[in-house]
Amino acid sequence: MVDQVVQQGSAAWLSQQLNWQSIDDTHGQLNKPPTGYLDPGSCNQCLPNWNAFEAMVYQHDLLTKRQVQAKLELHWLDHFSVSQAQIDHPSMYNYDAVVRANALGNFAHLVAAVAVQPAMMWWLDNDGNIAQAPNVNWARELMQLYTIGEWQLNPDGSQVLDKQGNPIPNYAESDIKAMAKAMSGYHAVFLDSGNPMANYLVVFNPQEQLGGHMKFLGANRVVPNNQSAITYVVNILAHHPSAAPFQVTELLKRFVTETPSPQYISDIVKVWLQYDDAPDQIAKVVAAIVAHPDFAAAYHSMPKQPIEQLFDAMRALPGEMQTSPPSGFTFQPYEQAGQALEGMMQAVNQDIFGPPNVFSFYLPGHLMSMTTTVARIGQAANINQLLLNSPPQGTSSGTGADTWIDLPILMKRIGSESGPAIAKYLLDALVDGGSPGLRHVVTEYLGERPSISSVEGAIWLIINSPEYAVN
Amino acid sequence: MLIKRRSVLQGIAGGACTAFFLKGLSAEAASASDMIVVVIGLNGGNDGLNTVIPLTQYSAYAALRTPPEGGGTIAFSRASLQATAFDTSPKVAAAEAGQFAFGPTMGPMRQLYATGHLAVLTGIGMPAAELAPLSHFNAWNDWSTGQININEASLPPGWLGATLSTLPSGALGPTASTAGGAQIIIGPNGPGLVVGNPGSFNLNYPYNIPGFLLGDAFQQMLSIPTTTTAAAMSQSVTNATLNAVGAMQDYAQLAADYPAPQTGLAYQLQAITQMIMGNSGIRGYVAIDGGYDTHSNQNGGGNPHTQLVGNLSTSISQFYTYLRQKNLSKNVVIVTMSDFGRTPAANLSFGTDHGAASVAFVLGDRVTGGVYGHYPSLTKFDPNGNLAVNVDFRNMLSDIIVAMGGNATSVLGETFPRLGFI
Repeated sequence: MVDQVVQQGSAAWLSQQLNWQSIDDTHGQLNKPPTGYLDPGSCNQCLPNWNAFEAMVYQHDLLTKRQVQAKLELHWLDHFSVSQAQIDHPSMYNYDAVVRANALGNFAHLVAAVAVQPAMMWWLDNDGNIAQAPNVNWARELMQLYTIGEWQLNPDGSQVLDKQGNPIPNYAESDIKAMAKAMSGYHAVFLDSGNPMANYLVVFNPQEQLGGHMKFLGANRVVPNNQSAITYVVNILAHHPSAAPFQVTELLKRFVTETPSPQYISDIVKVWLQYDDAPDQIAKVVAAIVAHPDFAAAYHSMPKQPIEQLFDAMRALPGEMQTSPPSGFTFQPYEQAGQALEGMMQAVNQDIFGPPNVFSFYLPGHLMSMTTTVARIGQAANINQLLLNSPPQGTSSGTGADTWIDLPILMKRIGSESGPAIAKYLLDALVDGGSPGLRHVVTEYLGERPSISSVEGAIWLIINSPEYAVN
Repeated sequence: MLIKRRSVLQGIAGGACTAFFLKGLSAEAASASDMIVVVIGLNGGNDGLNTVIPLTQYSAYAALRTPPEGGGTIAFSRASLQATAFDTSPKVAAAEAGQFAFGPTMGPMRQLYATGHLAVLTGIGMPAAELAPLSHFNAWNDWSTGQININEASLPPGWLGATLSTLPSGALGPTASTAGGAQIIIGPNGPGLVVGNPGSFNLNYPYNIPGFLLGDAFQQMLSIPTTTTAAAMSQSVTNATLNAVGAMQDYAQLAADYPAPQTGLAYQLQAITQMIMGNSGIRGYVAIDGGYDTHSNQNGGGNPHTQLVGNLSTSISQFYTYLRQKNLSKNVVIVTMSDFGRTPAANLSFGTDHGAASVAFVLGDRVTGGVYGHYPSLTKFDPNGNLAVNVDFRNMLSDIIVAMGGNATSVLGETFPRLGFI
């Protein structure tokens, strides 16, 4: 990937990435329902093999050339987090597919698409919510977590304050109850046969929904008494004055800095609003975030998430993944590939379909803990698992990981066996050259003619350095 | 290569680490007689009404918990509550017997109540001044910091971290979480220790890489000056981790006869037991259990509320009983917290939604057992139709902070009257 960015120039590369449909996704096309995803046999209630499912997602994230889409996909999967522990059904496959397809699209479309996925309907109980006795879980979190947030916001992200200096809530309990009634009547219904990943329909029962004239969020509304009711409500929220600053602040905190300036937020909010109804609204916003002067100024101010610590190294160095069984072995490749990464992600507590609480919202600073450090430097998520002695699973030596950094290919790319040349290549690829101090330590460690083990050691050192821990 | 304490000291951090580590051990001994607080967080909003049932309002309870549309109930039958009704031990007021019952799966909690060292705070929750009391984010942040109406952009330190920042503690720092990063343990001077469990708090050099040279280079690398706050934080966390490894490996050898844990919470409490037994000098711990956001199928399904509070009851009982057996309970106080209570009425999904008042437990040798606060009325509710709060959650924290020797007014920003359970 680094080579490609250098070749194209960063602006052209980003422009192509944001136009994601134009990028051949053959490399990510291992992302098919893995053989081991379902229990043997065809049934409409069979349970998925979660390890294989998560491995499939990681596999795609690593191999796809649509890298910016993959980054946004992870952001939205976290934003709309659901837990596999509760959503124990193969429809999660489509949940992931819907989030990915809309990751750089229009925000209102994304929310509306997620809203009628069975995974989300189960997670927040809108499946079976009926107007006569509403379950308010979905309506509350749709506002608080997914669209507008609790407090009225100014375009620069600051809270709107009343005369006493207190923040002003965006909604009251009465709004939540009214909106729960407006979005009631939806059910996920399973068909008797067919592919378990697609054998369901989301149906609407008008008898269980309260449409027509209603009042919520300070205005009189006419809610449709049909299947478009959720889209109607989502559109109101996506165009609410607090939605843009709420979403933009979250994006900036995730990708640029934990303390975005009011000016930065305000500038990006303008772009968000300018493209409010555009099909590629989020792509436009990402382009503006990167083009803003505060983006470059925030260099190295953001802790990497654990998933980035692993994946960035794999992308910067020649990471390989098992895509077919080794000679003489018969395991199912789709069942296996990516499982080493899946195990590592669990070890560092960033299990994308296992959020730590009811509101998974990974603030990067919270992830930089001793537990993740122990996992990273210790055995569980050690990058060493991905190094030379990790040939394809099933062979007689190595750690048995199905994903590895191919050192012979790396050495060919470096084109030299000299220690200083190897140090320069690794430091350029992983930490933009590194500080003089880090350059000195790595170069001294490698010596003049390092062994292949020492090259592994140098990669290990750089990946565990404070400089690599930040974006 | 497994990195043991000796190799950590010799191979990575060298003499500086040795001095730091020994200083830690001596400081730990000096602080051993001080009060240790173990907070158990019940994440999601615990349904207090099905945790402690007001038997004197049983008819209203049963009606609220049975949707009129039919299909079932989440109310416990009177008969099922007989075995967990509050005990009539002479150590507690006889009047309370027959007034309240723990949920039917909470038998061990009833036995703890009978010891006279379990305080049950009823009607506890957010004060009316909190502008968004039914939000998970808000409520959890409030309970974690001891403040209300917090601006998320500038979270204050946790109440436990803030209290202990002015009190003596060991070199590993004043606070630790066994449940990942937690706001409650963050103090003004540091983020607190995050330990999955002492046994897994260990490091391994890559086995196929020349170990000594790598350790030497690693040590050099961790002393390179950093240029950004984020990189400095990473360096600081890594160094602190290396310093804690040796002690944690020693703690992992302790409490070998602890009852075999069956749940995540029990494992966390076992880990805390090991750190307490090891005289770690840590004075504030937090363990967190999840799943309490019971919007549907509350008494059935994969991880129902009945099972959650049953596990809570068993885990706390094992923990406290073990500490007592080992003569370690004298200074330990166990406190529960949760986002909020839940709606008095069951919804049609046989769950409950975000509500207001709930119950909290405080347990310890120093605690005066009994029921505190007033159980809210099940016929007259607050303006949102929820159980009315009559004990501000900060009032409970205030008593605990004072008992720890801290300055409650400074930590909480307000002064509260003493409730008297400790």
